[in-house]
Amino acid sequence: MSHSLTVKGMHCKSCKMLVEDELEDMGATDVNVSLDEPTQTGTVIFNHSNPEQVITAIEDMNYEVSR
Amino acid sequence: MKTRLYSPDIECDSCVKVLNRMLKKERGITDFKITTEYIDLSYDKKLKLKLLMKRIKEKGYRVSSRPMDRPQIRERIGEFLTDRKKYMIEWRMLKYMTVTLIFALVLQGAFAYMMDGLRPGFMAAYWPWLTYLTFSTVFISAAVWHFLAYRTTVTCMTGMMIGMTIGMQTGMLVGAVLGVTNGFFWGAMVGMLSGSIIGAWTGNCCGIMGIMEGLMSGIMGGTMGAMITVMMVFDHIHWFMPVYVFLNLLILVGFSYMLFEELVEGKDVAVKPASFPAFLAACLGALALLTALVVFLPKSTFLGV
Repeated sequence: MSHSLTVKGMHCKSCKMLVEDELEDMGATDVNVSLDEPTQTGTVIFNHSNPEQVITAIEDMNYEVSR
Repeated sequence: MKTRLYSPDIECDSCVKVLNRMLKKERGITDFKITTEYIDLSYDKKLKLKLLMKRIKEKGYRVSSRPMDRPQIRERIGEFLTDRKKYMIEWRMLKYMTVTLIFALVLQGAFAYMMDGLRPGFMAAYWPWLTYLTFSTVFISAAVWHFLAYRTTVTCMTGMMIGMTIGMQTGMLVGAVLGVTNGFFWGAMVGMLSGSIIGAWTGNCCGIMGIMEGLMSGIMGGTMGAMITVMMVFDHIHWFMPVYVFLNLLILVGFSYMLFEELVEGKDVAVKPASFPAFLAACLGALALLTALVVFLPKSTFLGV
């Protein structure tokens, strides 16, 4: 099942890469991260059996996550 | 084995984290430290350094075994063409320049046509020189507009370079045109005065050293510009002048490039550009004054009208 998250505090391409790498390391599939630089907000779409685990991992990287 | 790799693109904590994750997975790296300027690596034979550098580049970070503080010219041009947000001021400068140039050339053409009715032969004699004057005025105005758009402090070295380049190029271009149309005395006088005034004004950004540099380069540029064209006036001047003007305008383009490198890149600079009407008015005002001087000051024998 596909999940979508809004991630605040992402300000650059490296933030985008960081989230992508983390999700891929966690075994997420169909990962798509888009970034809106002016608002420093990312939209993260992925498939994962445990989305709560993904949210915790992103929050551990000091980003603010909302569904 | 130990080595240090340099990357000017490691800009923030996220960049460090991305590379940190990557290097942790690399076989052969025994220890590493990443800062926003370089990566210190300790590694054994299992690591292929060139492959590692290739992978870092694929992540979007330029990397080199030697310090590389700034992008190469080709990289900068590529970035300029693709990142309009970063180079917003420079793109605006190009837009203002293009519109003003077209407008000024049309006005100059209309003026020359009108004058041709009053003084037969005026168009043929003056049109090339008024065109050079138009290009020169628009390019110099654009360079000054670009410089004034960034509100920041400058070092003595950069301030001197600013005063010198603007003063010299103004003197060289204005002096050269008036040297042909009005003779050596008026060419040198107008070139020297305009170069010195604008050179000292822009050089003022770093204090007395910049002012002196601007004054000196205005004197040199104005007198040399007039001298060159007066000496060449009966020796292929029409072949010489396009090359001379092109090279001088190229220096002004290089000046804007330098300005960005020295004042803007990697710094948090306040931006307050003048509006287009202000740029247009300043540009056309300067051009009208110089055109009036070209046409109404005593003329050189070369023109013959």
